Amino acid sequence: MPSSRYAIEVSGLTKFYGKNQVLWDLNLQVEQGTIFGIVGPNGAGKTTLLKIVAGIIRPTTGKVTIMGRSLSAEPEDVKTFIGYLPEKPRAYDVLTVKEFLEFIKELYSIPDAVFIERVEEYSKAFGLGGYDLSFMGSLSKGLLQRALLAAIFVREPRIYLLDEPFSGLDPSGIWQFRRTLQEKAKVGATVLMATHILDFVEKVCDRIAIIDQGKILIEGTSQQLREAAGVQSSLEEAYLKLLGEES
Amino acid sequence: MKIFVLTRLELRLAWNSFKLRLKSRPNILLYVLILILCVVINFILHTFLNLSSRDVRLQTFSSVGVEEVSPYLMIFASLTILLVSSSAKGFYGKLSTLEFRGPDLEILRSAPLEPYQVFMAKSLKVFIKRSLLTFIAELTFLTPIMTFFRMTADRGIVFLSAILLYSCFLYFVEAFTFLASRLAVNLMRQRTRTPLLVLPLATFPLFFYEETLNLVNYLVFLPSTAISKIVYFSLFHSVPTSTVTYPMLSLLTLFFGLSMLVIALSALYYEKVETFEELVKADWLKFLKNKLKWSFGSRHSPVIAVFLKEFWTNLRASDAPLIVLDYAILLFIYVLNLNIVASDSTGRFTASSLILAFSILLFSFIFQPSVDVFLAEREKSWILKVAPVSIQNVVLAKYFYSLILSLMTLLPPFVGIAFLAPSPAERLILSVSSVSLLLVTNATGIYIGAHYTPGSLREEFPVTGIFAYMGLISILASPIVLIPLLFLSRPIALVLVSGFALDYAIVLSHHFLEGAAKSFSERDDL
Repeated sequence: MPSSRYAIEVSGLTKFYGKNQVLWDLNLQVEQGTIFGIVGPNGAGKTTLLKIVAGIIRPTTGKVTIMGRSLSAEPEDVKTFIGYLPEKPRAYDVLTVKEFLEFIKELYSIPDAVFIERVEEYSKAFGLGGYDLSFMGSLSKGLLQRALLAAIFVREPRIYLLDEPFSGLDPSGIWQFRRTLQEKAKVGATVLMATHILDFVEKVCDRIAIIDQGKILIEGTSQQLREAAGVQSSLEEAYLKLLGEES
Repeated sequence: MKIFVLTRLELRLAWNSFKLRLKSRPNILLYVLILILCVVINFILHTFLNLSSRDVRLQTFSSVGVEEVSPYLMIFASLTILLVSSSAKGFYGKLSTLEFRGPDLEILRSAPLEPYQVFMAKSLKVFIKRSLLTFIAELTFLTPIMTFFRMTADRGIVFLSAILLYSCFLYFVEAFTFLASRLAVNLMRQRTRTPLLVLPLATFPLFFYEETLNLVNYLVFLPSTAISKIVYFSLFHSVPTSTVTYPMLSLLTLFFGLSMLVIALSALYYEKVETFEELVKADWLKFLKNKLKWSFGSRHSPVIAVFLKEFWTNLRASDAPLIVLDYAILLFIYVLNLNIVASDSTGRFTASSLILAFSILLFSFIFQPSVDVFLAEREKSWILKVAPVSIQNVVLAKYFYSLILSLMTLLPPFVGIAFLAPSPAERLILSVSSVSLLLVTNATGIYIGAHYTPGSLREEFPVTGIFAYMGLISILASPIVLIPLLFLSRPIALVLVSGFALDYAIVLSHHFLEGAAKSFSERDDL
C-alpha cells in the first residue's frame, strides 16, 4: 500500500453543476492525525468538496487521493478509510437504531465481537441508550445526528469527513463529540470538517482553510490566519476581515 | 377566493418545477417526441405483422357480438383496466398523500387558512396535472390503435372508444379520488378508524354511469348498441359466463367490488401515513423489530445486506399494503380473462391475444416497484454511495430485490395461465416470454429509477420516465413475445427462437443495468 504523510490530497479540483462552476482548481492537503476545519460563507463549495472527497459525486476535473490511493481508481478500497456525515443527515426511517447499526456492520464487514463492543461504547458516549429500539424516522434531529455519528464511530475509520456535525446537537452532545474527535486524532485519525461554528474551529482544529466562491482563500493555523488578517482578538474577526465582510 | 389563490400558487409551483427540470435536462422534450414516434411506429408495424398472419374479422366489427371480439380489443381492454388500476394506485397510494404531507404544509397551516381551502387547492392541482398526464398517456396508447382501426373498422367506434376511455377515467378515477380524499381527510380529522364508513362513496360514481354513457352517446350521435359493446370490451366484457345475461349487473358488481377495495385501502393508508408515529405504530411487521437479518446464513456480503435492506425497508414502508392492491387487481383481471379462455360458449381467444395482454400487464405491474427501489433511496443514497460497495453491486442488489418482488406478485397468476394454456407451444411461449419480460422490465425500471428520480419525493413520477418506459418496452422488448409467436406451429424453430429471445432478454437487461449504474454514479443531485 502506498504510504503518504497526507491522509487527503486534492489537486486541481473543479466542479460544474450544469453551467454553474462551484469549485475552481482547488488544491488541498490534509496531514494524517490532524483536525482540519473548512470554513466559508454559504454556497462557497464546502459541501461539494466533502461530497467529492467522500466519493458521493465526481469532480469535473482533478484528482482525490486518500491515504496515498486514488479515489477514482480504487473507490471501494479507499472508501473503507472514510467515515462521512452529510450536512442534512437522512437515514432509513423504518429501521430502528439497532437495525441501522447492524446494517452498517454488514456493509463495512465489521467483525461481530468488535461491533458489539464498539456499539456499547459509542451508544453510551452519544447518549443513545434507550433509543436502540426506536425507528430512525421517529428520532429528533439531534438524536438522529447522534445515531449517525455513532454509526461512523463504530467503524473507527481513519478519516472523518464531517459536514456541519453540530447541527441539532445539544451542548453536552457537542462536548462529547469534541472529546471523541480529539481522542481519535491523538491515535492518528484525520478529520476534515466543514462548519460555521468558528469558536469550535479555533479551539479544536489544527489547521483551518477559508473557502470562498470555490477557491481556498487562505490556509493555516488559527494563529496564522489571525496574523494574515492583522487581528489578534479572535478567528471570527479574522474570518470576517479576510472575506471583506467586516462591518 | 383563497382557494383559487392557493390553486394558482400550486399550479405555478408545478409549472416552475417542470421548467426547472426542463432547464436541467434540455433534451427531455426531444426525447419524449422521439419516444412517442417510436411507440406509434412500433404499434403500426405490430398491427401489420399480425394482419398478415391472422384472420382478424374487424371489417364487420360493428355488427358482431361480444363473443367474436378481436384479440386487439383484448389488449385494449387490458390497457383500459391497466390505466384505471394504475392511476387508482397512484392516486390512492402515493400522489395524493404525498401532496398533503409536503414541507409547505407547515407554512400553510400557520397561515390564516381553513384546512379545507388547502385541501381543495391541492386537490385541484392534482386533478389538473393528472388529467393532462392522462390525456397525453392515453393519446400515446390510443393513437396507434386508432390508426389501426381506421384501416379496418368504423371510425365512429374508435373515436367513441377514445372519448369513453377518457371520460371513464375522469369520471370514475379523478372525481372518485377527489371525493374519496375529501372523505378520508374528514375521517382523519375525526380520528375515526373505520374505513368502512368510506365505502358508500364507492357507489357514488355508479349513479352517473348510465348518464355518462348517454351523454357521450348524445354527443357523438352513435347508436347505443355500439356504446354498450365498447363498454363491454374496454371495461369488463370478460365477466363470468353466468352473469353475461345481466351485463349491467356484472358491471356494477365489478365496479363496486373494485372500488370498495381501493377505497378501503386508501382510507387505511391515509390513516397510517398521517404522521410518522402512526406509521410506526401501525407497523405490521412489529414482531420483527430488531430481529432483521442482514445475511443469508453464513454468507455475509454487502450485496446481500443491500438486498435485505431493500426488502425490509420496503416491506415496512407505508405503501406496502398497496402491493396487495396490485395483486388483487391482477388476479381479478386474469380470473375474468381465464373465464373467457376456458368457456366454450363465449369462444376462445387466440394465444397471441392472451400472451400479448399478459405481457402488457406484466410490464406495467413490474415497472413501478422497480422504479420505486431507486426513488425511495434518494435522500438516503449517501449511505450506499460512501460505503465500500461498488455501484454495480448496489444496482444488482436492487435488481434482485425487484425481481423477487415481481415474482412474488406475478407467479400465481402466471402459473394459472400457463396451466390453462391450450397447447405445449403456447405454454413454452408463455414461460419464455414471462421470464424474459421479468428480466427486461425490471432492468428498464431500475434504469429509469436510477436516471429519472424526481427532484423530491413529493413530485410525482416524471413524464419522461413514463414515456421512456413505454418506448423502451415497445421497441426493445416486443420481439421477445412477437417473434416466437410467428413460429407457433413449428416446434423446433419455436424452441430455437425462444432460446434466442431469452438470450436477447439477458443482453438487454445487462445493458440497462450497466446504464443504471452509470447514471447513479454520475448523479450530482444526491
